[in-house]
Amino acid sequence: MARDPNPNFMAGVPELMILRLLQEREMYGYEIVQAIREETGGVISFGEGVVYPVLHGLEHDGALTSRRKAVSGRSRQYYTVTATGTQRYRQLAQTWTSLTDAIRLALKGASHAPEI
Amino acid sequence: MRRRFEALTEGLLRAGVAPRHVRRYVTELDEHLTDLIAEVRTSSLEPAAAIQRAETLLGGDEELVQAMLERAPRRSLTASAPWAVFALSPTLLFVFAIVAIDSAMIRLLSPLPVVAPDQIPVGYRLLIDFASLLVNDLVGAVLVVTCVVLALRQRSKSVWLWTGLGMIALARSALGFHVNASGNAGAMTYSAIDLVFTRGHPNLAATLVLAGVRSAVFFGVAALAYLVLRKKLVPVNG
Repeated sequence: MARDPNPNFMAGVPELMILRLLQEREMYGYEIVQAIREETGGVISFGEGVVYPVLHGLEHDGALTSRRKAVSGRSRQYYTVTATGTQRYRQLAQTWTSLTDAIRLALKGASHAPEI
Repeated sequence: MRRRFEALTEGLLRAGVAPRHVRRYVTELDEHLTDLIAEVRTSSLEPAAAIQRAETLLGGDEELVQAMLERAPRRSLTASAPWAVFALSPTLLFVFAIVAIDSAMIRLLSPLPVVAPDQIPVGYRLLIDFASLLVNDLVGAVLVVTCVVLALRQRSKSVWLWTGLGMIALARSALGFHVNASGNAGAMTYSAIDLVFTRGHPNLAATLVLAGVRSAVFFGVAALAYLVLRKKLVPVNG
């Protein structure tokens, strides 16, 4: 699985992925990055440290809360989605679904275009 | 491992991100790097190469600083309004403190009978000495220490700190709590301005010269303390 970082961190995608993952359980930053990589088959990858400004931004907006928890002798900052975060996830998911449907439609139309 | 993030820390502080947000970011990056190194070490890479690989995966300093500034731009008040933090607030606080303490002292000393200075009862003497220490020394010192600490924490531009220190020095030299006595019974007065008397009359020129000298000494000591602390605490490239 390729892990070379992509130069661009697509707008909206990190928030969507993070909110989607945290619907299931609370996680800390490293876990979130690993889960994103696994769930997307390595297609989405980025400088891993940049996940933290996204998490802090979501927490500032009220979409997440966080707490420090010690697990197996290691202390980590765990993030949990809030009701506001769940609502935002649904909005983002709907936006991305509409977007991908529109692009798929456009590509389907292009594939039927006659060759010049 | 925290030294690895020194340049990142300095970059964010100078960009005006509040110190507590920088601290949290660096703590989480440090922990993430620990986890990455542990993961990469399971591969066949040499330890030094594994650490380098983990640092690459984490992201370069520029990328990490940019991500923070773009997505979570929380400039502190010290960074966004240094004129208010270093110049306006300390001066206003100093003047307010002087007015409040002087007013309180006037009320507290009003029952004091009119006597020569060496006949002031012990309790009142202690009260006068305490008020003098508070107003003439402690308030200004506390404000200076606060400004210096804020400037160091946020890596503020020196010009704002110099302005603030200068204004506190001038205010401190001009205002205070002073007991003026000529040695005669009934000739004791209190004032907020430390007047120089010559031949029983206030001398404006001498008063201004004294205030100027005191300001310069106070400013010099405060500035020196800041420069020494900055040299010790702020990294060279910061």
